[in-house]
Amino acid sequence: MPAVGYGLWTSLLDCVRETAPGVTRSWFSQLSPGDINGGILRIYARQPEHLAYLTRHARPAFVDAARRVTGRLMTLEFELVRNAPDLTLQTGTADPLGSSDEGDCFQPPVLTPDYTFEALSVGPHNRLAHAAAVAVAEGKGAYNPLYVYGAPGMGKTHLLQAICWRVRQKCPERTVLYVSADRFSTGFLWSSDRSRQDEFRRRFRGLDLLVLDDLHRLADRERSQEEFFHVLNEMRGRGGVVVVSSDVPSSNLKGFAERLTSRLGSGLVAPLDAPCYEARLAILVRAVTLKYVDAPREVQEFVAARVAGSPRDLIEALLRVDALAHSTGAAVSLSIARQALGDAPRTSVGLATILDVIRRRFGLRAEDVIGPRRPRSLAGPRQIGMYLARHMTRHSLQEIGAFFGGRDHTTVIHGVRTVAGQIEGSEEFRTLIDELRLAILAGPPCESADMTVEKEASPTAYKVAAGG
Amino acid sequence: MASMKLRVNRQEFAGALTAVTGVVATRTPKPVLQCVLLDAQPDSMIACCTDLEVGMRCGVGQVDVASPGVALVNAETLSRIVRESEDETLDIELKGNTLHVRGEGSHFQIVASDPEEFPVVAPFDEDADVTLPSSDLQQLVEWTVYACAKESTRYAINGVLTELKGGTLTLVATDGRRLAKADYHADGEKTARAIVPVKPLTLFTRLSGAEDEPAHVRWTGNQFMLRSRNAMIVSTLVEGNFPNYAEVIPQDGDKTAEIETAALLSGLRRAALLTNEESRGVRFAFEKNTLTLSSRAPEQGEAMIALPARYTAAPITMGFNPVFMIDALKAVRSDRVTFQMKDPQKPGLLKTDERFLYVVMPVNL
Repeated sequence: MPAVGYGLWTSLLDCVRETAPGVTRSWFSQLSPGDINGGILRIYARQPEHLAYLTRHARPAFVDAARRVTGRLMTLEFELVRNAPDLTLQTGTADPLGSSDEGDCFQPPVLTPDYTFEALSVGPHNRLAHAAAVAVAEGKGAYNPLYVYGAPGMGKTHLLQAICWRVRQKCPERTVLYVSADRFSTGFLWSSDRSRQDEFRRRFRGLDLLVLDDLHRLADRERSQEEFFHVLNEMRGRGGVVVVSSDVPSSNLKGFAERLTSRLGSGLVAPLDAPCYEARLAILVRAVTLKYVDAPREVQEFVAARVAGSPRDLIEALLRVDALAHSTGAAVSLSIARQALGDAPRTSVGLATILDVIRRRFGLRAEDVIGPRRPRSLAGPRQIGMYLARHMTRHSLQEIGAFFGGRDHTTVIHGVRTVAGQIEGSEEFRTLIDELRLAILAGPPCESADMTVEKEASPTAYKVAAGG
Repeated sequence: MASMKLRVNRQEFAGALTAVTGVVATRTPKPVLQCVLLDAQPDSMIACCTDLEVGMRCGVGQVDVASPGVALVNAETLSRIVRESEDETLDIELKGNTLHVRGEGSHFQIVASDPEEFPVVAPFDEDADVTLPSSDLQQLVEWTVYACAKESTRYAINGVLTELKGGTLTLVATDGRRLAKADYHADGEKTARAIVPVKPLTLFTRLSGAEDEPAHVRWTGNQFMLRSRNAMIVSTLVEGNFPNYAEVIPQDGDKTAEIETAALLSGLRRAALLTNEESRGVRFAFEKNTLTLSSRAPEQGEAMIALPARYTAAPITMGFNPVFMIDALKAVRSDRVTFQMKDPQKPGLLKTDERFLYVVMPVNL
């Protein structure tokens, strides 16, 4: 049976990310499509907890996305496949329907119309990246490659797509391609499986401007990295410009060949930081002017003060306020905003932050906390980590278990119960948990502080803190 | 030496032959599959055809058998001879490997084959899993069968899902762009589920004069069987997994329009005049108590038709392939249809007060 084509699969994933950001997980990129047979699309997950998550929470989003991208009444099945080869496409027989039915593998992805420079609010958090992006778009900059990095939601994709829009407007004769790293990788594998590498290379190496989003997803994909390295070299040789985005600085890229990271760092590396209060307010003001939502100034100020996150968090918060107002039939007001967002500042907490805080507090190594060993000095902090993850993040039990060393969800339940019992029983323990909570909400400290804390912490810290 | 002799009412015989020859494949590598088997018992005769996937046996009424026997002849030839004849009765006689068909002043001699070569079409003598009036079964088939994929593709299976659960017989067909489902509430506890080719179902609907009689349905491990008073159809099943139709049927439609069936059908037929391969769809614009259909064919022209509709939700505009809508509306018998929508990108749901519903994917205009 025919396998799902590259174009279809990436548009499906993009569609899920776009229409259901709430259920989207970063590991979706590790899923592989199977065949479509009799209207049923098979999707393979590699981890049991991924399978459980998909089946329980992500199914409607995937069904909806599959329908949108194929225009067919599709349903789907998730299955577990272990040790699947690292390609998001199935090799196999040439598909006679492939090219016409699913769109060409080299078809350019659609750019989001809202992601323009005009819709981007500039502040101290993104000034450098913005200036460099405008320069590249207008063909003035000498930054090659331009490397933009920032945490999720900081506006990397917005900035990159804005470059493409500007080029289309001002220099339509320049050939520009916007592509996600996933798409690059799957496209490369797709074409090499079908002996169409030449076509692929021509497509990429003949560009004036290549804009590659989410570069970090190429981690450990050696063949794709190598291909990208060659594209980079050849384009530079011909005067083409490459723009990439990633979630870490080029020097911190993990799972990448050194020659690639050093080449990427040879141009301009520009950060996208979290916006300060004034910048957050400016973002909200811009969102209101662009008619995403209507909110009075006082509400904008309230949201800017309450939500200390990325531009995406801010817009989401504003939309949440709007949705609440809409559902209650009232106009957007300060009281509605308070109701929607609560009084406490909202920050999003990641499992990695929790692990980081835990290991530093108890003076442990991260690999021990998530490792297989179970002495009390490790199991205790691990359980606390699970408890905090359960109460401070939206991750499912399976996901938490998987994060803490591939443990079963029942282990997580047990851990959460144990910690809850200890909190009940000991005031001291409760204080410890509260401290950890605050530390997690404060976010990970910078690297230098990290070093000193680690030196000071003693391995017996857990015993002392737990009162035993 | 093979022999058989009987006298038969010509109209009865023609009817039975027309019914069974529907099974015969027009092109087949095995000539024996283009034949009809006539099996004369002392007090009855059965005509039988098969294409190895579907087999059909049809009883012939008003027959007077002088000498029982079995004959195998080309189905098309015999059927046309019997249809074109004008006599009230015909005398049929098998002598050696020739079948003689005699009317008043006419005599046909047809080459007969060895009946042993004909594949066995299993009889359906067992108890049925479900029994319902033939007219109801025919209605279920008419409601669904047009939505079936014409050939098996990755998006749909070329067959109709038949499902018996908790006394309800459900037929579902889909081609990946639309899905039709129809139910009949019968009695019983039996459970069965199989994908059946379209052919046995349409053959059953063509059986005339059997509307008020019961239709018996039975599923076995690899066969689907239908029986009415004097005909029996047995079919192999279609391999494959049928999509979970419950998941395909949208549950979250929050915009409901009620429209007169005839007006919508007529409006759609007119709007469809100005669509072509490129434009594909007709635009459905729902506003307060109005449905406006519009279409545009490049270099030909545009159409706009406004229809009254009971609609009070927020305005919505969706594009649909008019053919898909017309197919369903033609099958509908009730005066009004209800149309439920959620979002221009999501499937629409057509319902009637009958036991029928229809899901259709929108098209991008």
